[in-house]
Amino acid sequence: MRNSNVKVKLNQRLQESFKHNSDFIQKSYQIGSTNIDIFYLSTITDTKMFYSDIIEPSVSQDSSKVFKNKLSATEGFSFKEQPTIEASVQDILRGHMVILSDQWAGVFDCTLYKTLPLTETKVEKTIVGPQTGFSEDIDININLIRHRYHNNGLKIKDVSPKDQTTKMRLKILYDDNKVAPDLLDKLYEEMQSIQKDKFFQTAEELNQRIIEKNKNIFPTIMISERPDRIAYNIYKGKVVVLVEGSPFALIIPSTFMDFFSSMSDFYQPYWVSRFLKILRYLGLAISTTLPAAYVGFTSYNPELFKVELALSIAGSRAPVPYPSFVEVFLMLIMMEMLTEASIRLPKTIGPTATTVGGLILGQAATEAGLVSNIMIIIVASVAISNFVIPINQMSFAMRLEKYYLLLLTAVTGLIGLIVGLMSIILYLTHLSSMGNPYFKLTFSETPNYLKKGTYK
Amino acid sequence: MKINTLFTSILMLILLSLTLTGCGFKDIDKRNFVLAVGIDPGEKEEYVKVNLKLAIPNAEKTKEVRDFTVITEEAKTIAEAVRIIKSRVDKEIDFGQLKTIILSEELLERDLQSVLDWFIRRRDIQQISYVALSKTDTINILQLSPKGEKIPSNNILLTFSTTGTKSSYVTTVQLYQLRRALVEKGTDPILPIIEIVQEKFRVNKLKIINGEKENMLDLTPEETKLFNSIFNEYKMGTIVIEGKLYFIVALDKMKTSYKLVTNTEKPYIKYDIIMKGFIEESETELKSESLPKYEKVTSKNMEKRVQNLFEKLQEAGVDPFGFGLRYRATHRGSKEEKMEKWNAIYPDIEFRVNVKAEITGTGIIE
Repeated sequence: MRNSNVKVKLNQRLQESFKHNSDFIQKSYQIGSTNIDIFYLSTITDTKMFYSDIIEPSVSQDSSKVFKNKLSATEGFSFKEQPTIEASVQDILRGHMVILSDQWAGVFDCTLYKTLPLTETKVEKTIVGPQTGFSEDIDININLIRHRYHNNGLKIKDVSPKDQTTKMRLKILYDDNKVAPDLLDKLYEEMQSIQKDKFFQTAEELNQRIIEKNKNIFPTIMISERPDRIAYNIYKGKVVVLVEGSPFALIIPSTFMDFFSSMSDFYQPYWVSRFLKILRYLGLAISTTLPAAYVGFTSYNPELFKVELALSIAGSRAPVPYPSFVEVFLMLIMMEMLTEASIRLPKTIGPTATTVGGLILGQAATEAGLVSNIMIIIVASVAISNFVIPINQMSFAMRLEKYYLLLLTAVTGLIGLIVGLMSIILYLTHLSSMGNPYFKLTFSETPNYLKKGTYK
Repeated sequence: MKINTLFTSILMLILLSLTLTGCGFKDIDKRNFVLAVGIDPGEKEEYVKVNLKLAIPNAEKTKEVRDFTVITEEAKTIAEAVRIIKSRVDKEIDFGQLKTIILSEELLERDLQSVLDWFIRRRDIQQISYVALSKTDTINILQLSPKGEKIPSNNILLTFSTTGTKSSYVTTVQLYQLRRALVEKGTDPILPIIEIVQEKFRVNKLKIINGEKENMLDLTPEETKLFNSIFNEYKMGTIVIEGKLYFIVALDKMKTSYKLVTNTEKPYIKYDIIMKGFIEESETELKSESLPKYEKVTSKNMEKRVQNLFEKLQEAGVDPFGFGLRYRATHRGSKEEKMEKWNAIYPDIEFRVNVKAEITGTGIIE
């Protein structure tokens, strides 16, 4: 930048851009014969090193040459040949320092991150295995992944959706040797096409943007906070998307079965993990079908019960004034309220709410003759078995699913339950996750279509 | 906006339709479960008396749940009687849990098949219901609730099914078996007889019916036990050996097979029985060295007894083992022709019973 006019112009426009920002700092120094202007946002820029190691020695020696040399030798600094106003504003917003001298211009990357230390995983807990989850800083997250995946196949690419207001940094991670090129192409394409509602700030929201077009019930992209899961999935040839400021990463593509795997499956003995897996599917079956089955059995086909059970259900239902599905619906809604409430409540009050709701409400409802004893058992087992599903997204989807089955069964009996289950399976088979069949039952180590080059 | 209103109205329709439950929907507490049915001949000619034992559900767990009521109605057919009973109760009558059907012995004078027709046709009646015969009015059987019975009619059910007691005296006949034996030519139906003794049920006798020729044969308890051992290959039975030696063999294994030989001058049935067991009780000291001797005695004894049983059946002209069916299955010709031939053969057929008994031990460690 030979022309100091340009510098003055840039200076003015930068000041104008950040007019009402209290944290915007503009400083001028006279070092030797050169005028130097620096611009940054004090809240997101780490200036300590800059002042102590660069400005101070240069000013004391009063040499602009020392200043330039020192700067160019520092990591994170780069010269800009043609600094534009847009680029400079962007840099400042990223926490970089823009340095303008009479002869040259440069950008110094000294972003300040203020984050909490790494915390334990909150959503995907395991008993054994790694306990740390992602933080809200994308660079720390990449750091965590790199420390779990020491292979130069690991590629980290910057992508940015078109027309995004917040200009969040998105990074795509994959293993170059394992990933299917088609998958990457498709992902880039999807990223570019995210336009609707240009504001988003977390991985969860990005997930919603990607799958929004289909209005899915089931999650087709997994969100995880576990670095070990991410590393494993990269190894499996999947693509991971990290979003700045979000402690969750997207795993693309995901299958239905992925949502029933926990990382602890790898850390437990073979038969133990198999048993736990069976338990999860059992939990899925119970939590989705039990309320509907109760209605179907008690109101349409009580002959399927043994005599003892039939009479005991009939006895406990005797004081209940409403038909079975109203009873089930009432209790299920109550249970959903409890679940939602205990999520919102502070940790210290949470257990109280569950106790009050679960125990006292259930007991009182039976005593008042609003619901039968058997119903309480059913609602409790539905609620408990729903939480067996290790990935939250899926358990939320399944919470919804049971109402669909309940509705069908209430209207048409056990036939409705069977037709409903079939329709869910059909729907699942119809779904795809980024072009990858979603309801894939068997999972081979490295599926053919994921291997590089074989897809076409 | 337009789509939204359409969606809302569809949702409203669905929600409203929930209040209109059809006739398929009937809550379990609005049903009267029939646990047992008793059929008697009516007072009027050609009428039947139908007794339904209905359970009254009880919510209190601590109380002994034994509440039931028996409703009796007489009509020309069972279906009609049930229709009348329906008008007398407050809840829908449900036959889904019906497991016991008690028939009065006097009914056997009529056409049993027409009596059973209603049970066969009703889709809500389980074909695995147990059928038994009562010498007295069936209402007595239905009204008896033995001490310790937690669920009405459960006592009979446990007696007949193998979930409860297992006894070689109890013959189990289910509805489908009875009908099959009734309809099929060449095999005759059997029915256990249920009695009340000292406020308890007793099932240790058997009646064999031959629908066509109206031959009937009552077996004594001892014969019933032997019949069950051979007919059902009942493994838990015991065999009492009397004579010079007295001991009881508890069976572990019972296997039977027979050959029907009709192409010789004198047709015969070669009946082979292989049994295995140990000695459960004895009056004299038994030595394990002489087990072969006991085996021989047991075989001889059994052979004689089985022979006697077969001959008794033959004499009465009943064929519960289905020898005639075997004949039909292994010979050519039309159904009537074969049955005619068989009816000529059966009274004179010879039984050659061959028992191979194996006794594994005297039951005592020496």
